Amino acid sequence: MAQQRMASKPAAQKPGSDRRQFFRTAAALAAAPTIVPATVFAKDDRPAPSDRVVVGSIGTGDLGLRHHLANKLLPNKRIEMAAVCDVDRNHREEAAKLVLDKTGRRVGIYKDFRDLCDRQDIDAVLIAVPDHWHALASIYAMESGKDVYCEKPLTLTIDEGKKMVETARRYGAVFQTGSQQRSDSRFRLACELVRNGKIGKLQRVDTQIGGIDSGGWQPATTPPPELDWNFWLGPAPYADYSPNRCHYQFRWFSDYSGGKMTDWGAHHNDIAQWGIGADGSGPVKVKGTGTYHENGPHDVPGEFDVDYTYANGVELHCHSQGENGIKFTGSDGWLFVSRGRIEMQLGDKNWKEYNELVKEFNPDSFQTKLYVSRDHHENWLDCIKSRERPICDVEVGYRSVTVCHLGNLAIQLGRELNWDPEKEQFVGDEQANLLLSKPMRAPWHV
Amino acid sequence: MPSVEELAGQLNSNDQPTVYRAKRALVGMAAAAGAPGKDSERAALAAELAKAETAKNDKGDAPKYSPKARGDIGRTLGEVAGDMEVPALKATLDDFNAREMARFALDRMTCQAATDALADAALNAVGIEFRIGAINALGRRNGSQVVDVLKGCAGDNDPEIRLAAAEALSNHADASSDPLIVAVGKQAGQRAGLRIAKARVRLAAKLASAGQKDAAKQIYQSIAQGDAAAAQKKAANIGLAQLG
Repeated sequence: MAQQRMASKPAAQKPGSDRRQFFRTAAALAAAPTIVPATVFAKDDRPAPSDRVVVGSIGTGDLGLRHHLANKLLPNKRIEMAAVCDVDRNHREEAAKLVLDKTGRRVGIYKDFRDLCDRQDIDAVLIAVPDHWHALASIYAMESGKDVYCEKPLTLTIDEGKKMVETARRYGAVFQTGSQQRSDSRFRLACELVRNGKIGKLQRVDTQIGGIDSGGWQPATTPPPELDWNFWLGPAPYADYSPNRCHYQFRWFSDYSGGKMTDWGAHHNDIAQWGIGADGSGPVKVKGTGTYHENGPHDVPGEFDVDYTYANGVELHCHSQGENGIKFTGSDGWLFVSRGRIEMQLGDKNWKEYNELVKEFNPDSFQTKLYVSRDHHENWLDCIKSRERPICDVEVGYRSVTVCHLGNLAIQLGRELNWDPEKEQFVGDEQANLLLSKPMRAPWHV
Repeated sequence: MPSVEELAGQLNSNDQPTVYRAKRALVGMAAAAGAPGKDSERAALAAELAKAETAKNDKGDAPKYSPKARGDIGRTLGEVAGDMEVPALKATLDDFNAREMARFALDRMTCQAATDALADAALNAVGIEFRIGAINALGRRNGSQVVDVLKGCAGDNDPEIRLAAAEALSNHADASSDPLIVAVGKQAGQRAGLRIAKARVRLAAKLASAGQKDAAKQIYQSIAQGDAAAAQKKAANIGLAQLG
């Protein structure tokens, strides 16, 4: 029955009909002596349909298809895929075929995310579109009653993040930001060690996130027939199509993204914020230098060094150079963590293994315990059920990407900026405050 | 350091790296001139950019620089311009090929003259989408003049203009907008009706945060007890709970 409902077009659904209400009704009917469809109950090791989350996937390019849909959504027995959406026909049809192949189920196929969000039977959406669409798609989804998992970097501008937080709170939406390192035990252990003073008083954090090359110019050309280029651009200024502005490569163009600073900064600066204990806040000063490629086309900083100061005196230094990862330096030692390794040094003692650190420091005894999530998608699903905030709630994601945006703005403006994390604006710099948002092409707005 | 005029000439080039370098130079000039305490440098750069924005060819019958070049000049203007440059941008609003970036510039600018230019575009410009861009920009500005203009647009003949105006009004803490927003919704279709319901939730939240709790409560109650979608009813109930 659920399968039949998902295959139906939005227009065929009753206005105001709600899938959970449907199952509540079904459950009430089950109490009566009547025949109940077997699909209402749990089968094999799958949860009952009423306990499954019906998900729509918005953005089914490389990341949305390969990472999220194939590896995370479809194998998850708690998820029922209902729809896929992409402005590239090949992407959305490939995604629909993948769902069909894996589940035998035909899902709704959409070009416009608003059509997907307007479906009343969808509980939640996973958004993996280019950065300049994150705020628009997320806000529309939340205002349509959906819970959201949105890829990092969460926003293109600082002001977009404020609107996303407001909307999530206003609608009671469960919102997970895709900075998934928070659900990795190695990063959690690192931050717990730091937060519990195991390297002494925290003094400095270095995030090393890599730079980018200049790219190469391609002549403007006609967009391929499967791609709605004007829709892909959406709120961004019009630009002629060339393949290297679009899928994946959009990251290196400032109209669509913030470059490596936001792409990887949304991971490592996020962990820095966690280790510093600055979730819900941020630095108070930022200055930075960066180089832009001489001949383009990439117009975001290629190499950079940005220095931040927090109100408690801790310094954060974000670099394009150095081994990818985060190094926390305290009064008594240092700790390095990355996706591949964790290492800690105290005086002449050194630990290079996760298990050694757990054995030595016994995190169960720590006074400051951090949010535990062992899987980012599972944590999102748990919170959809409990209505609690996920580990990388919208405000966490917004504050972390704000650190990255502050860095890019400091590089662009070439001067030290004073940031008020309470008021979420620059102090005494009118021009910098103009850059907290970007005008959008009509009809788009947040 | 090349002059603005030289850079404008480079923006006219068909060579992509040349255009890129000129754009980067403009970004750097705007950043340097826009620093706190550099008012005279900022004003001088803005004046040069405005001159390039409106420069004519040798015959004097067409713009000297291409629409793309003027678009880039306009975007830079948005970061440094003041009242004095608004006439140049307003003139560009009449040029269908270059006006979007002029609107972007006015959108960024905070001066009253920019607000006036956007208000004029919202009410009188040709082209629905372009007017919606101006209306959206007004939605992010403050003041009773802005609200009056948006209320005027909410009574426009075009349904998309009315909807955009209703959404923009929801960003202003003015309870008298609610009946207008509701009226726009009554003339609209299903998806438009949803947009109106979302706008009313935004308006109520805006009123609540501005301390107008009774007005906010009234709108929330109307949504919660009306025929709005489940999401808006939920948001209204959350809002009511927060108001106590």
